[in-house]
Amino acid sequence: MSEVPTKRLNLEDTRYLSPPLVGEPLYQCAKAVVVTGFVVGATLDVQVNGATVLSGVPGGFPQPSGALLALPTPLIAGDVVRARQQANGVTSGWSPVVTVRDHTQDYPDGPPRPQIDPAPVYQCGSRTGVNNLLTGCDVWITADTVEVGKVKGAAPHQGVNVTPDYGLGQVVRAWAQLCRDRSPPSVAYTTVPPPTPLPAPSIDPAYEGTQQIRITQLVNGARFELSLNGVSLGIWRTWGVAHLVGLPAPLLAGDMLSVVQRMCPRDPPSPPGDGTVLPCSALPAPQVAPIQCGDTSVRVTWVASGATVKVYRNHVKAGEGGGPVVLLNHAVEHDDVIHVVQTLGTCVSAFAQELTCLCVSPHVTYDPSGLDLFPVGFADYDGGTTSIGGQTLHIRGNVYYPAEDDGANTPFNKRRRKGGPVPIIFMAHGNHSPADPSYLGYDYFQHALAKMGFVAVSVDCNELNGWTSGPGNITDRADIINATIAHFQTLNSGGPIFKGALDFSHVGLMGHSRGGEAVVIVPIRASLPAGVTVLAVLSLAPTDWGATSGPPRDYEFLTLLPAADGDVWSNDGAKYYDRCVPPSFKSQLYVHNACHNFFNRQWLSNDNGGFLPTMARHDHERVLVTYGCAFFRRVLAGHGTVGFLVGTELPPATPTSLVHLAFKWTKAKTVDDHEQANTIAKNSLNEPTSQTGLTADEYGMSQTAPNPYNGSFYGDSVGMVAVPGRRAGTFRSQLKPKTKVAGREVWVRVADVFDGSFPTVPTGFQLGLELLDGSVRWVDSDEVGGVSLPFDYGSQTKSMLSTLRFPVRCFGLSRRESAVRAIRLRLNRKEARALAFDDLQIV
Amino acid sequence: MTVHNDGSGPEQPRDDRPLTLPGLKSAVARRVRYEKPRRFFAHGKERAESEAIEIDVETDAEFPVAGMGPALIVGNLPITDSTRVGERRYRFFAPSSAPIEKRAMVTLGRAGTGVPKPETRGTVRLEWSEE
Repeated sequence: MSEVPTKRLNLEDTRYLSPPLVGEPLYQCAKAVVVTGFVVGATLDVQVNGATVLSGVPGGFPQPSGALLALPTPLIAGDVVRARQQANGVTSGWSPVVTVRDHTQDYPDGPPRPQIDPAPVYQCGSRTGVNNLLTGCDVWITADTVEVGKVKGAAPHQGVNVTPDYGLGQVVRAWAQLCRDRSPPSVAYTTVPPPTPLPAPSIDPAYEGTQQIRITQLVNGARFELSLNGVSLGIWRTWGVAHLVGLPAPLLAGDMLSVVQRMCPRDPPSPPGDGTVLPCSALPAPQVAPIQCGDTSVRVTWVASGATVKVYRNHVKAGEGGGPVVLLNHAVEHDDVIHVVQTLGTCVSAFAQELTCLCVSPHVTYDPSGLDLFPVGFADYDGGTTSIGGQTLHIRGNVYYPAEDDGANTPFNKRRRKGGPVPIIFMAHGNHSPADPSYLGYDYFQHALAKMGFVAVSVDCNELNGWTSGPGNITDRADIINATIAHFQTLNSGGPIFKGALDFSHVGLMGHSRGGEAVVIVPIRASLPAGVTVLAVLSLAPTDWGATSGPPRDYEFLTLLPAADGDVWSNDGAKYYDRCVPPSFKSQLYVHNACHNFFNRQWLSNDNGGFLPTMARHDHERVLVTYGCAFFRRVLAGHGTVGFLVGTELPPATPTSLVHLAFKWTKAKTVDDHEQANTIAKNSLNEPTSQTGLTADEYGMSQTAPNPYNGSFYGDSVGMVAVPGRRAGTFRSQLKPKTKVAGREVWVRVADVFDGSFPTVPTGFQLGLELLDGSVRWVDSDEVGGVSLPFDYGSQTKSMLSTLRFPVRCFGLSRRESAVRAIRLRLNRKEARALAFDDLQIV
Repeated sequence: MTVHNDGSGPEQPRDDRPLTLPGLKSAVARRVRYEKPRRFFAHGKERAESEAIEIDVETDAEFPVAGMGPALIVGNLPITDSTRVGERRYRFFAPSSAPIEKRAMVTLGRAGTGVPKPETRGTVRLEWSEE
């Protein structure tokens, strides 16, 4: 992606106007819909079941969250809704239809829990933002249980004006209802005094021609007054942080804007925040997300306030809208050149974003840890003592669970219990100073799981912490986890909170460090109570003390390996991943810049001593909570979150560029995993292989293998290392005759082999599909995410394999070319290095 | 004024293993018999033995309390079962059948992560007591 001068491009405008989008999902009883993506000033039509119910409605501004359009009658399940826009004499096509559902299909326990967002809430606040709403629901605010504001037919993130303004020390909550089905209340916030003095608001750069400006540094609940050239334009209420204001007329270059904000009448207003409208020539290019070939839209990540986005495909306009998603008139194909500009009236940005699509460029979608359905209760538990390994150990820790309301020992959520017993996840910390309550360190993960309906237990293993080491210390940890499971079976039989609430046929485990090794063996210990089925094991930075025996099996497996781990420096979880034989899938996250300790909030020091690049503690937690929730949701609740582990979608606000995924479906067709003792000359299909221009052979990819390529491999697999020759070399792996590949993907694990000197630029390769006529279609590894550089760990730098996915759609095969006879790997880089390959599969 | 040459020295070599191990001062072994058999593990399999070898070591500092832990490498044999018995004193446990040479060279490494390798200088030889 690069910015290029717009003038040079000779972009051809057409009268094409992109269809807008109807916000999804829509549910029965919704009294409003949200339409996004239209251009500023467009009028909107909405149809329900083909009948126009809204016609020529002014849309206003597409930013920040589209237009909320009240419907004449509430929606009914099965209704199909679509919208279109009209602007400048052009009418767009209709949007994709959205089919209305019954919300109890997706939310059997009632509408999700409203979130007061942003928080905190201040004395004298006049407006509150409420998030996590179902479109078209009713939302209201109470202060000390008295309703002070309500909106019928709300947007997903709705502002609610409150009257009177909040007093000091009031308890503020938000509530929502759809189809007379009431959500749980939001978290309760007690109002606090507003900041003193109030900060001066700030105005984002505004450009000539705009009719909308963005004001920031606003206090939650403030009123602000906006002036243009010294003349007041009015007073607005705001939920704070940032506020977009529509103006009656386009601004001119040099216009002076000024904003002050106020909270309590007795307190002085803020200093003014000022801004001068910039000329058209200063309007920059918009920012857009990378495009994946086949996309039918462009995602805008930043646009000037009030701007319209225009997208050109091979210099001809293919989309025009207000963002953040601009639909195109044609799917983007390989080699298409895309230009994106923004306009304000007649002003066009001087620069355009120029980009081409990548074969694999997953989109940021939603936060798999963000599902917020229930208040969260928590409790300490004490199951007495038990004898383990000749020691008397306490069964104790804490538990987070979906509750009637937030707080300690609150009752279990009645609706959740009525829906049947819930999956339960047990967590175990690792070795650390016994003086620190390590089991409290995963409260953020427990809370995230509880608010989406799981029960999350953290086991206090402190009596096993300290200077005692050995495999027995691991089996003892496994046994205390199992004793805890047995204790919760007792609580499920007759406990005050959990009676009948827990589903021991859907158990998940998460262990960290020595706990990460313990959870691998929990299911095979004799101490596992009867009636317990462990379905999911998350092994975080696990040790290997030798307590495991044979491959982990019979559960889905995720391991997280911190590349900058200064404690378990050898990332032993890679061995468990390689050995694991799961029912359905296994997943590995090799996380650059992650250390060992920062996943636990009680472990304060950076174990690598700061000698390795280390991301912030918050980023460690984001990685664990987003990918961990995706894992447990998929396995324990059947949610569609496996794409985050496969890599087809990305979570927001997470350092995904540092997360290198390996993933394997058990039932995928394996072309070569090199585990058969049939030499490099044959693959796992027992078909022949051949090599030209390179030297490839099979090696043990572990620290203990008798035939390692070198000492940089830390897993437990046999794989192939291909060493390039002077020119491009190729490795060919033959398939069964006429292997069909249409609609599938070719996956291969690959690593840049570390040879003792740290490379400065990434290397790569090409993967080719050999057609029945002998011709080969190639796709470069850079087109599918690229081969990552090793993480620089000095002399202990590792060759850690990650999975690259090559969708067959990227090879440009025609329908007649749906069968192939071989897969080729070509090492074609100028400064090629040895590459390690494993698990070549057709998925 | 712009300084064109700040005279910076070379960056310090990266410390590959920040959790440093203490130095080894002495290692004394003895054969013991337990009334209650002790657990030993090999390849993930547990077995109980009544006779064992205990090796008491003295170090010049404490081991860090972490996921990894101490390994005592006697000759080429890593021993990873251990507990702290006093200030800078640790006891390692090996099954009686462990091939431990009388005056083997003894070093410290780290266990629980990777393959234990000697990380201290091998100047200490194993001694035996007759307890």
